[in-house]
Amino acid sequence: MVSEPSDHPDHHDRSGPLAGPLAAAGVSASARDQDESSRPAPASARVSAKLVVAGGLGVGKTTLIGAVSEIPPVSTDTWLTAASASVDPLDVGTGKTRTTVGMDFGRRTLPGGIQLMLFGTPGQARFRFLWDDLCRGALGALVLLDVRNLASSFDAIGFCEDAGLPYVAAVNLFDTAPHHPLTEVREAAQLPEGVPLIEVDARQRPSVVQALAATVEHTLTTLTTPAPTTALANSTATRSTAAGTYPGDRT
Amino acid sequence: MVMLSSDPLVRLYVLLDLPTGSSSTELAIHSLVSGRYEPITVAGLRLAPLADAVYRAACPGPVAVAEVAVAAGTTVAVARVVLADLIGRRLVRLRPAPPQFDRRLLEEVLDGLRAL
Repeated sequence: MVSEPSDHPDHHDRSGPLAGPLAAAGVSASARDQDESSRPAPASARVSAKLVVAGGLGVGKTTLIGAVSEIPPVSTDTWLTAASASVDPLDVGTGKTRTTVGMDFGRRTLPGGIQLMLFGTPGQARFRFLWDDLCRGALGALVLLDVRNLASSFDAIGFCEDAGLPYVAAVNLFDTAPHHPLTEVREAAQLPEGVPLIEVDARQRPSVVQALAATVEHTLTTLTTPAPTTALANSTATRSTAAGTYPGDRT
Repeated sequence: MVMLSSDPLVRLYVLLDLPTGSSSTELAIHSLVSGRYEPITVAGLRLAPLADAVYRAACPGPVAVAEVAVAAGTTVAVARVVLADLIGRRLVRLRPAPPQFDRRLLEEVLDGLRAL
């Protein structure tokens, strides 16, 4: 009998009779213990890890989280009341009918037991003060780009740079968006050299999992090879006026 | 609903009628918490309705603070304050979080993602 991932078996708890209601699930927990007895208990058992999914409004953050989450992506307001949602200007023309107040999050229990939490950054600039909270303790960020509106993700890029949070940029492959070679996107977005740029289909789980793995891998790489000095990095303040336009579109 | 102004945390403590001694600062939104007792055991404690909802949401833990907030039907900010109080009363236990860029954790997350 193997427990479902969402059961969060309590089998590494050593605190005795106060182990909590899941102590009753002892059968499946010990089954797991046996399965894992051949290797040392992971440090990660009953540990959560957090990745941030960032990018402009309507760039596909909620879709991406929903593609891997084992719970429906939950939107929670954090500080403000739901009533304030009505003052958000909805982007006209993008067909977006729903906007995120506060943040979205999802969860995926990984083989090995880590609860990987995915948090989408709030789309609205006035929620930016929440980002510190979102990024605190995060393993890294995946910044989604919409090739039709690169500038909408510049805030997210600038924030990661300023916060020193390792991030990977990912072009979300919308069906309706024109295709640009990644070299052009990199130039147009003025991505710093060390930042990986990949493509992702936010609707497809394997693609999303790959993008998340690339994000974690990049953080591991930055631990080994210290990132170039942040002074060289493009923050929103230093981005040139050409940012957001493709090389071929410039006159 | 509550409108928050200059000092939201203090206002939350006052509005929730909680002692201000508990600190919610170490509670990240992804921090894991667990209830320490079966709900039935603390029935006699008569927790306030909100605290009770937060407590019950934490009981099947380990569960992330953000999920507790959603399950309890409140905001992360409020859940955090209530959880800090419950932790202070030793009704809820906080899982110690690993350091942010812990290589072993990163490697295990990467292995886990690749095994999905």
